[in-house]
Amino acid sequence: MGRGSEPVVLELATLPREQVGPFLLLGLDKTADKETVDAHWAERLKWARKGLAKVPLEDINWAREIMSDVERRIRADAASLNADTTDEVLAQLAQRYGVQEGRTNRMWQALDSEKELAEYQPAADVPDSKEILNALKVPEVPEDVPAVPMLLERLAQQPLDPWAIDIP
Amino acid sequence: MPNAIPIAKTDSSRHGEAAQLLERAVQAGCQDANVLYMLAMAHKRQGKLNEARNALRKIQRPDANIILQMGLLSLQENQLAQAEDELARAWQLDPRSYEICYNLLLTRLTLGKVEDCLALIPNALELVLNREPANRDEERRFLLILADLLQACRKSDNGALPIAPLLNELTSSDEQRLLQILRSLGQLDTVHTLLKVLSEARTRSTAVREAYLEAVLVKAKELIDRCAWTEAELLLRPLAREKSGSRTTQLALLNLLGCCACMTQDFDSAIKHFMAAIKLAPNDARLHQNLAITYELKGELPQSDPYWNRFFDLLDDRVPVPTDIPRYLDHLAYESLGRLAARYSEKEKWNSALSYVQRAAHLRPNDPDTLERLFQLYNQAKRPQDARRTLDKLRQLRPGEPQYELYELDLIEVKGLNEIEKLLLEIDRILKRYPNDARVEERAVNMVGNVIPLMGNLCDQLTDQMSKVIDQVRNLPNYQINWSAVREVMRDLLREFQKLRRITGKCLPLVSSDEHRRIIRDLADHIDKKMEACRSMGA
Repeated sequence: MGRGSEPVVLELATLPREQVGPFLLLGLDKTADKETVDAHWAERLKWARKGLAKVPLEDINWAREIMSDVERRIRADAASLNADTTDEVLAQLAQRYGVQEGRTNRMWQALDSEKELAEYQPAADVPDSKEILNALKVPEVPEDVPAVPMLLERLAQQPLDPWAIDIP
Repeated sequence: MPNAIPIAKTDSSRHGEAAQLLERAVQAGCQDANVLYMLAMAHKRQGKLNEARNALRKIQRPDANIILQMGLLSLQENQLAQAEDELARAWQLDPRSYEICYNLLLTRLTLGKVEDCLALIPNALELVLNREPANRDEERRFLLILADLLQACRKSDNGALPIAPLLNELTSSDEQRLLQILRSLGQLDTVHTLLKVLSEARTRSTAVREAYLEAVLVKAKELIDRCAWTEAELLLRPLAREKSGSRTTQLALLNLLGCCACMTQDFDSAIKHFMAAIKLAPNDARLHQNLAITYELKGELPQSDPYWNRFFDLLDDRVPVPTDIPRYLDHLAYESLGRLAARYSEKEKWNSALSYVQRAAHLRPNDPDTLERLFQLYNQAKRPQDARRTLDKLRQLRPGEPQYELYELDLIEVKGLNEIEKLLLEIDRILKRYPNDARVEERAVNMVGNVIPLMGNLCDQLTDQMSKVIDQVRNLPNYQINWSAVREVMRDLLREFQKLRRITGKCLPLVSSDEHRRIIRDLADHIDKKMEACRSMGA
């Protein structure tokens, strides 16, 4: 019995899952990619566990299975209704109202006012750079180059082949 | 040289460097609130909301601005309840901040808290006077209009007629700004309620009416995504009667109504809605597909044909497809044709099924599976010449395929015992030639299974003939019976029964199921009895 003037809503029997199809069961557009399919499936699993969805868990998993197989997905597309038109009017409207990937998001611009801290000086001791520079002592560079004798010695050890020299 | 080209540092890298430096300071023990605040802002500007929040939480005595920043982070994360809580705390600490007041107002509006919003608007009106003169008047007017809308909403909730003086005299820019804010709320229930009240208050505004229609459509789509077909239909139905929306919204409305009706098995209404939608957009492939599917679900397969054909004609670049599946439309057309052929085959409408498979074969002329289906359907449709031509093509595609020898037998027209005997002999020969081929074996068993009922029919025909003769012999006086003719007939019948008995003997080793074996044995026993009867009648 309905309460007072509230109309009584009769739930009509829906079609079996094969006739509803995986697209409508997962709330997917026919252009959905793999990532979107997985995201919708995961969300519907949560709904089903919380009792928020009318679709049984078994059907949600079945729909994902179909969508994961390209051939079966195309076959399902051939037999499934399109909730949106070819021009994707609904998808555009949903986007305009902040619905993305089945979730609604706020789009209004909040007013921000950050503190002005550009000139802020933290209360810390900063050393004088001139003092630090003066305190640095540069070591003296030796006049001879220690690698030269070693290189000359190595060159002298190599046998000299006069025929191997290219004469231009 | 690419390495020599100087690349300007982006802002995010500047913020990243700042965050690194500040993080080091904090790790070194710096607890300065401003350093933590700057660290949080550096993270926020890079979109690192968690890190920003963690930095703000480390501030020991947070002021209103710090809590405002936390509220803004919650808004970015779409955590509306948490944002409201934080902004309310910030508002308590600093009731002179217009930013906090405005954000709290819109957060509460998003959450649909009409009373709380109405309570806040007078404060916002007072604070807006401190804003820059350039936007001050515009802001103030917006707040007044919003207050008017919310009051109308409250009255509507109480069952009273929404009387809102300001709403009646909105300029087009006022209306535009209000609609822009309402559309951006992101909570469909709130948007729907507010737009409903606004459309009732501004009955002459097409922009408001259009926005309301849009909100209803988006809400209905949300319900459909949850498979709540009946609820979606109840929401949409009142709009179906009026034709005030634009062509695109009307189209989407009719299509959604059709989908809901179809899903609740109200196929007649679904057909009506889809038809009306097709009138508005005759070249929309998806609408034609929807109508065709609805006719199918209603069980009126032939009525779906014209819409399927139109759907196939319209499958072109305009139809959106998934980007990760190449040549999607070709596959879709092929699978749809195959599916329709299967539906017609189930109903034994061979010619209709044939026309769809012919089109599928046109799409994939060298696909053996399609050609095999085509061959079977030519056979069923009694077109042996076309079947032979298809078989020849199959043999070219798969030379030496053993199954095609059995296909050849399908072309034999079985009329009597001689053809049955020939068929069984050929099946036996092919089975012996390919002893370990499971597919040949399976098909051969099926073919023999199809022959068994024919043998039964022939046996019944012979039995009928024999019964007639016996009845006549029993009913006529002896002197009227032509015994030589009777014996002649019985001899003929005996010969036929013997031939049939021989065929059952050949058939028995070819079947694999127990059921088939039982039927053949029963038939053989029956034939033996009839042969005995023939002999007793002088055969």
